[in-house]
Amino acid sequence: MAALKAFTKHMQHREYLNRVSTGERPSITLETAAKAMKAWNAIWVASGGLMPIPAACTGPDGEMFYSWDRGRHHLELEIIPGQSAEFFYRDRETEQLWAEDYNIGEPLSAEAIQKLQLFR
Amino acid sequence: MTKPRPGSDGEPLPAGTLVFRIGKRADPSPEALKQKKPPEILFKPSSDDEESPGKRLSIWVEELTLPDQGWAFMGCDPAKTMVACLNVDAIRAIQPPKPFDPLGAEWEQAMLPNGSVNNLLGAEGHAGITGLLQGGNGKMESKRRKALRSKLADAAEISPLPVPHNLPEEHLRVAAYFIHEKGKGSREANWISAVRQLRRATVQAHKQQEEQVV
Repeated sequence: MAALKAFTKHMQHREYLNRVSTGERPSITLETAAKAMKAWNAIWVASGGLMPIPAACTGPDGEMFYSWDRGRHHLELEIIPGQSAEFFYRDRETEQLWAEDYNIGEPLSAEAIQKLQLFR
Repeated sequence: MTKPRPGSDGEPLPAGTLVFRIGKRADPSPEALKQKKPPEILFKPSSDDEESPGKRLSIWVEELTLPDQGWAFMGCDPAKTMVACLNVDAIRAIQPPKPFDPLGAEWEQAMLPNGSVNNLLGAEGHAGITGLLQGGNGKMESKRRKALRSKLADAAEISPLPVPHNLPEEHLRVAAYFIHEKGKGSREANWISAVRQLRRATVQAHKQQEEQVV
């Protein structure tokens, strides 16, 4: 049942990426949508299939923005056209900040994987 | 709440002013719409904002502009329906990462996409958040700017009522009639007041419902 729910959400996310990258006035390019899907797959696999689906939103200059929130922990991945993607983490209690560039398609860094553990 | 008098460009907004932001080209996923807080990217200045003279992030004063008016000024895009609401005091109270300066909120002359001054009804409520573009190009500075936007998103709430509003026409007619009975304002002004009153009532009802659930 849980697997079916996860699969449904995964498909909904795929449909969302299709919607925002097609049509008359797409918010992002097909390339950015494909990179976003690739990045999400890598994150999901690296978290052992336990990372929740991201809250996603398009940005003012064709970016795709993913975020995860769990209590004090906040993690983002910004997929920017023509640039490396950027991870950003903020601990709301300690105000600890962490950021790292991520080349989509390459393995996630040990630190990024460590951050994913906070949201499982 | 007393209606704020629109100020000149660059003048600080009065304390306690309620403002809202409609993101430029912000198209949220169903998962993002389930959250109470808006995504940080809703507060990311666009390349146009970076080149603008005031370098401010566009917001609207709720007492002077309806979200529906702000949405219309931005081109009525049916995909951009998310409205994030904030109090100016909360914006100013955000602790910036050192050595950044605190964020501010100032009046800003509304412009039309063709570059001319926007004198349409509701445009007087245009304002902007300052301080989101401070710092240089380094990674550390970029991280600090992201932290500011993330805190801004934490201080905001997504309005339960999107743009364009989905208020029943019948309810609006009744509200506008009662406003007309009080004998002030044009038909258009009465209609705007009716939308504002029903928007506020819907938000209030939504909050009460949430409190009951908790």
